[in-house]
Amino acid sequence: MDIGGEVPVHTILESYNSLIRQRIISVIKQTRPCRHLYEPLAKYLTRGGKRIRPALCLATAQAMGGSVELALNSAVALELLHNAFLVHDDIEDGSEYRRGQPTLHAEYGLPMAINVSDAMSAIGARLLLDNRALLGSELSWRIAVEFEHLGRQSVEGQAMELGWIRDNVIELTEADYLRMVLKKTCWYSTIHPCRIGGLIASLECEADRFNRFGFFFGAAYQIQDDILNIVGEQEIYGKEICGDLLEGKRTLMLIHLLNACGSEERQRITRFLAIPRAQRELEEARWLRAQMLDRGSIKYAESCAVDLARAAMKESETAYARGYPGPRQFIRGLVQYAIERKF
Amino acid sequence: MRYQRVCANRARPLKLAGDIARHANDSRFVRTANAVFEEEIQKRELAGAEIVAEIRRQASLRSTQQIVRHIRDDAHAAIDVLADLVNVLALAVDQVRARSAQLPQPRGSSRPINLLSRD
Repeated sequence: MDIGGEVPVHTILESYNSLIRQRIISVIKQTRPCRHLYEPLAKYLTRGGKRIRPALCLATAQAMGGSVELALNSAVALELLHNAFLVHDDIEDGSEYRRGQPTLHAEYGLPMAINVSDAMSAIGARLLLDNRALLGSELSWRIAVEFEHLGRQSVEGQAMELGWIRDNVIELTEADYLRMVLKKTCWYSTIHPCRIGGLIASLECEADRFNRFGFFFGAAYQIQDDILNIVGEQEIYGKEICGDLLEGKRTLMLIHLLNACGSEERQRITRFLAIPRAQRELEEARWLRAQMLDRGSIKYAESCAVDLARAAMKESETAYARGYPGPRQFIRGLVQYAIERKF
Repeated sequence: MRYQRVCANRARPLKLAGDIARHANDSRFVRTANAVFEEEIQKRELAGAEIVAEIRRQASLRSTQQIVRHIRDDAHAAIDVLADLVNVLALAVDQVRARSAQLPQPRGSSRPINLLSRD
């Protein structure tokens, strides 16, 4: 695939998307049990989504002199694992909507949703095994090691966030939030996709060069996601607005608000976070949202996301030094896209 | 190669200081993010060292396995080589014994010189 420097980001993203969609369809065997496994699986995977992770992997492979064909299995495995995480995440958070449609567990029930999610991980593992014939033992094994690390970091980050909610932890700093985001989001969403792409281009590639760029990019992406959850439009965003507030998620906005508000408001927020999720009322979540707007918490988070995106762009010069200009420009555009997106 | 690697490790603290300085003029939030990254990357580097050690372990395991496989595949050839070696050694021992018997006895000794003896 040829990446021209002048082509808009969303056009290139759509080209990658098309390759990924085709590969996904080709690996899903429409055999039995179809109605209770492969059919909902295919339906879910073809719902759409931005597919930034596999695009980042493919573009990095190209930027560093590799080919899309060699990176496609790993890129699709990243997308499958991401979708498996999403299904579990929606169950853990009690979310109702994903990509503008009911979440998988809302549509098919918990047992089937969990099983479909497990199937996504299993198919992803198959693709990684197929890498051996394509890339050789050493590189495919190295990629498997990268996957093990990203998987482990993600579940550890998720455990941090779930633990804060479960134990009703209030005293959190921005550094705590960033540490959690690095684990929960950045390793698997941005850092490892770049590392894997780089390694596929050359096993001699120093994969650590992408770490800082990936962290800043991933954190900016996560903050924008948290912002959209509060001020986005449900039809475009695809998830229920204020869902994070009802779940009691410790976002950058919440940490900012807890430090910016008066003692009365702080007590009210603490009380809201202490009650079980099922008992939290939408009215109270809306009050919390209004507080975030009034106290400048949303604006603050927006400025943090922009600052991080700028830092990521600066880092991209080091990470992709001597890389091909077309894919490099696309990756820089992707950072911009991540903080400007509405979904 | 080894020398370069040692030098690269020694240069690491300087490189880190440079990395921190790279974001010194950025916003407070980016500086916090950078500090978190510096702290976490050290853990990652430790994990990286473990990965490299594991790769080396696997590589050495693989070469050992290859040697064992070659020996197993060529077992008959190996036995023939060993048998030849034993025959050669036996022949050598016989020849040395024969030479020993031809040598004059040492003065004051009732035994002939034994070239195979360690004394």
